Amino acid sequence: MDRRQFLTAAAATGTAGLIPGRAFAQIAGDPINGSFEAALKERPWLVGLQSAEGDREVGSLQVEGRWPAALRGSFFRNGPAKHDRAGMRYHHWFDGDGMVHRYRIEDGTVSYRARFVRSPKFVAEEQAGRFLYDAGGTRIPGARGGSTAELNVANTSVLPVGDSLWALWEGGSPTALDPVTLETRGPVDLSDALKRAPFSAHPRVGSDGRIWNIGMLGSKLALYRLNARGRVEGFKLIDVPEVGMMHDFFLTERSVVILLPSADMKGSGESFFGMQRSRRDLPMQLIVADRETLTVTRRAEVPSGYWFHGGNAWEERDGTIRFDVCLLPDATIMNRFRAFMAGETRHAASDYAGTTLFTIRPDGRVESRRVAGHAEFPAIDRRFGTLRNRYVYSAEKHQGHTPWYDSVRRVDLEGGSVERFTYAADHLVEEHLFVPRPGSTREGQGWLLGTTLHWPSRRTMLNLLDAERLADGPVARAWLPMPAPLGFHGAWAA
Amino acid sequence: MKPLHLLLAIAAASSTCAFAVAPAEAATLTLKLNGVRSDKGAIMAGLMKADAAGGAPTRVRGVSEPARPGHMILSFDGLAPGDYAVMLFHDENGNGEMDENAFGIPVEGYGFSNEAKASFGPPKFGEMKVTVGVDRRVETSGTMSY
Repeated sequence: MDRRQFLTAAAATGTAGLIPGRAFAQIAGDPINGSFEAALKERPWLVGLQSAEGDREVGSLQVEGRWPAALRGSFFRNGPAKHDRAGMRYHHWFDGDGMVHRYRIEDGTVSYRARFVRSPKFVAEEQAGRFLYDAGGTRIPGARGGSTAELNVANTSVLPVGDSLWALWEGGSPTALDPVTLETRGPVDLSDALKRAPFSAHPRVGSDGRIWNIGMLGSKLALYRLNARGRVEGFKLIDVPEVGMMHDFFLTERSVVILLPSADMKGSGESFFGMQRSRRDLPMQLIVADRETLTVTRRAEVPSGYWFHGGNAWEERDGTIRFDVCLLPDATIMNRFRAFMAGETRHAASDYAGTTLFTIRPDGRVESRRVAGHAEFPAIDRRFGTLRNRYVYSAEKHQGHTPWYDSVRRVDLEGGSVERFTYAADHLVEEHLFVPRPGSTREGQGWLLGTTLHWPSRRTMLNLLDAERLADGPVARAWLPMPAPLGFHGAWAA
Repeated sequence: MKPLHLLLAIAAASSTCAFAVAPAEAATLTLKLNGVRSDKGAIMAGLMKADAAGGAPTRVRGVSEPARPGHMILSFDGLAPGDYAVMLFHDENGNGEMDENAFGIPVEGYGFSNEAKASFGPPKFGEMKVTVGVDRRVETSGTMSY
């Protein structure tokens, strides 16, 4: 029995009281911490998985190239940024407390601000100087129990709503922030009956500004429809097989489209994520609901798979639904992130998703076509969201200098061509969003805006590429004087 | 994952089963409850007993005490030997129910014996378990979560 097992067992059997102070368990350290620190010395790009020290403010970033005068707005990003406290390192990338970053672009300059979301958990743990609660992927020795309000780390995505910016998690409520100062206003109760309810991190916004989302708890899947100001107008719970975390869904002009991955929650791994288990023997379940009434209109089975992110969906007059998914062969990736947090960088083909285009016919027949390459973090020109779109942008692992993404690409779904830009080998590529060029109307007229981590200099860079000339590389860049921990998702607000 | 609300609803049901134990073998289970955040309403506690034959635990008693901030002591006396668990909630608005959201997630405070905790799902009976044997007095503690 190693030290960690002993301490966990001691806590479980109530003998923890024999050890002076529960903090001992964390001060004594955790094997993950040591192995990560050792790996970081050999693979300095792992700097992206270190914690951020605190809030940040940089008045004017060092820029290269020319930031177009027409590009004016705020680029927000969210991601886990507190991975360790008091010698205890989280075992899963998804666990860390959320930090929201704001890059303000105007008149050719870029300013930067980043703040940890002051969730109840963050505030309590900051005060205690150690982790107090279990996380989705980590059991903390001597942890307190926690409600979804107390466990919420608000670390996954952001959504501008009304005069707020919502920091989103999956297992609980949105957290409202001030979109300028990034100060935390507090949890958003969507209604009395929806306090603390799971609200996922990939809401879909219709062309009229209304917001749809899902929420998953056990075998209950919630469908939400909100008005543009964030008030709930429709809510429905449907019973589904228990698959664990489901990250994204689709919206068409008529329907909400759910694709349940091939997984169950009967695993015996650590904490909540550890229960998720691949079920390659099961198909994915497709559930289509009317987006106004939220009632289920049809179901279909899709060959086995797993996914985090999709680009867009649209529906044809006869009811044919088409969508693109970054498809993984199975759910093993969910718990492979544990090795990644420990600094282990061996990787398998099953760790990488490939853009896959699905067609669901009205009679339930399913066709699919896969685009070559390893792609994640899909983005589209949102003016064409829910409509037939031609382009899907994504981060791509093309060269493979590290296990991380190194390129951005545009796939033409009609012509089949792929255009890409591969960053220098010492950059890790994060999500790039499409930002439309003001005054333009044609799909694809705009920029890709996204961050890369330049690991040798330990700095994050904001990059702007002409979305119609990706291969030319960034037309403008702005350097942070520090690294931003590798994060998840962002939003653009003009 | 069994929804937490089902367990707590069972624990808090207001009716009490008849429960008779010969005084000679009766023990008292005392629970020290920490972290009660206000004096509003009541702490509702349900005592569950394991089924010696391996079936589902059953609720054998319920108590309600006016809430007091900080620590509270709750006792269950006259218990026969066996494995027990206590599940509690803080009925702050005094409506006699554990309020929950549309998913069945509690929106009032709750706690469990043996410092068992709910995080990403309710604790298992074994985590809340307190064994009452030949000792006349058995102690456990729990901490409220809000």
